Amino acid sequence: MKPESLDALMIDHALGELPREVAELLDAYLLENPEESSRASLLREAIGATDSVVQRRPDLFRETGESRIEKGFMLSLFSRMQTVAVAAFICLAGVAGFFLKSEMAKQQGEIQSPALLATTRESPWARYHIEDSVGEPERIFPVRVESQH
Amino acid sequence: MEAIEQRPDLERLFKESAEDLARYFSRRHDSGEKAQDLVQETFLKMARRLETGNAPVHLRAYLFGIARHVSHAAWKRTIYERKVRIDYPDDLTAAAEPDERVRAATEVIEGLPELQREILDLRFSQGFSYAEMAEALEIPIGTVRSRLHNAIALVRDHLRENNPE
Repeated sequence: MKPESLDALMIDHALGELPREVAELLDAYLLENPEESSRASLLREAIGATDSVVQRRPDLFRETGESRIEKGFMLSLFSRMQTVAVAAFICLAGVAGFFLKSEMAKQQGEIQSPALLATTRESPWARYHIEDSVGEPERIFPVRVESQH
Repeated sequence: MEAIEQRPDLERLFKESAEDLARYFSRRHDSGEKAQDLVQETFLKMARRLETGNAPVHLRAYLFGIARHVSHAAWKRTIYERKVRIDYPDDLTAAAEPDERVRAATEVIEGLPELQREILDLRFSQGFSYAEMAEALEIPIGTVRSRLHNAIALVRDHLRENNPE
């Protein structure tokens, strides 16, 4: 058993926090390993001394607000970090949206049929060109161009 | 209806814990009169919370959790009223000559963070279990255990340094 684990068990035992079965097993282990008993007695001595200090020195346990300040600071830090994260996410989403929109617009401009592209050019070989319909600016119509050749 | 059902519990709790609570406040504020006011304030808050339907696991630990908030609020009020940092008098039990063991432990404990000292106080002054301390201090039980173990291990190491044989 690791010394740290044994120490933890011995402290729990001394403070009455071990289940009875575990406490009995630990007692049996300490009986078989007397070298570990000295560790246990030193821990008991430390617990006794700590107990004495708590009883004799109430001035060490006065309210100072220190733990609250620590806790309050951590909470405010956490909420601040959350706010920054949300703001960063909104900015990122905005930038991504902007690029996505411009990319889509670019792609829409690029995706035209070769035939339509051909007809938009003013070429003597063009057989069709595109005209807006009157009153319906959203719709376009191919118009046959009489060949000059 | 619920409040009526819980009132006997509160009365019993008052009988069982008022003295301990007064001792707790006296230790934290060094004023007997003030401690009694804080006990009353704590029980009032406890009654109000029970009326809102809160059902704490450990009634006494929950009470001390409220007491902790009340204590801190009282400390803040005092600070704002006086506008100065409170300097508590030195060791009240200085007359009792501490032995080497206690002196060594004191050196360690006075250097611990306040939360760790609160854990020691609740454990050795009020006899709280790990679970009760966790509820009173609003921290996980594992934190209570590790902080308490750490404090005791530090005291043990300091005792060993001072008394190497």
